Amino acid sequence: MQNLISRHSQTLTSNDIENLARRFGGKSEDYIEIVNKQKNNKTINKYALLKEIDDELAAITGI
Amino acid sequence: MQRIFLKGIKGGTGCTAITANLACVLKKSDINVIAVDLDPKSDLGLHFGLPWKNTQGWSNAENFDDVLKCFYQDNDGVIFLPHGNKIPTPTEINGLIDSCKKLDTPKNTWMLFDCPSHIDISHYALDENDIVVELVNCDAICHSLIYKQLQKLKNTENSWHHFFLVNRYNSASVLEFDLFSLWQSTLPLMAPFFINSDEVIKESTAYRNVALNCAPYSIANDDFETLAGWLVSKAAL
Repeated sequence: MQNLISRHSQTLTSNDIENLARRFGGKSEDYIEIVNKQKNNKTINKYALLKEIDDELAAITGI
Repeated sequence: MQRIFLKGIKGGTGCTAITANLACVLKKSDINVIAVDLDPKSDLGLHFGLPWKNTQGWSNAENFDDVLKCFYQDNDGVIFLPHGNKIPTPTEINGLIDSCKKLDTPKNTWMLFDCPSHIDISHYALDENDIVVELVNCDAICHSLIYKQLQKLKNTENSWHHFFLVNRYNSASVLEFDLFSLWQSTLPLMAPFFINSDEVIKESTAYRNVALNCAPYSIANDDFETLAGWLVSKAAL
């Protein structure tokens, strides 16, 4: 049986993304968020591998 | 001393050529540069004019005093340390990185480490002032690898500056445009520019040189100057 309890989560939530930008990217204002979800979704849906990765991440994070 | 670690997220991303070209551009800006080859392929020296028959480097040295005898200086003034033809242990690699800190160098010295793509960068003893530039190509495999790397970074204990830089960007490719646009708007830690795919980089290597000397007005050289300036701004943070 798989051990479902792990110390480190393998998911990437939006909060994780912000933390990564702060920890490894220097000042927080260096990270410019350009929100164009519709265009991004179109790109992701266009390519099978990108769609698979996105679905997998969404399934894990529940977003 | 500012330390920059350059590595490909996978093999063949063009890391060694970037390291050599960046070193020369930084040197042109009066920054002292030491380029260290950590990759067992040991081909960084070829970009600086080291003879092909030379197989010796730091990995062949018994101790750091011997390593000091392995440094070379190219015509542009860049000091470089070839890898050599022995496969070092992780302890020996970390020992070299640590010993390089003790080099008696001017304060404005930058050390560029050309790292092999297969290593886990978190195994190096990095500190918060170090900058890791992980080179990616605009393809779907790199898309997958970037997400995996972000998951790894999330779980690492210590911190450093870490960025992904797109190399060999082909502006005529729809796929590359789509991926670059997507990454810029969704991923953290992406450098806000790319290094164009340019024959000049390959040609200058064939002439045993770098873009700065072979084609100073090329797009490639503009890109390396952009990279150098951006790194200087990041080093100041």
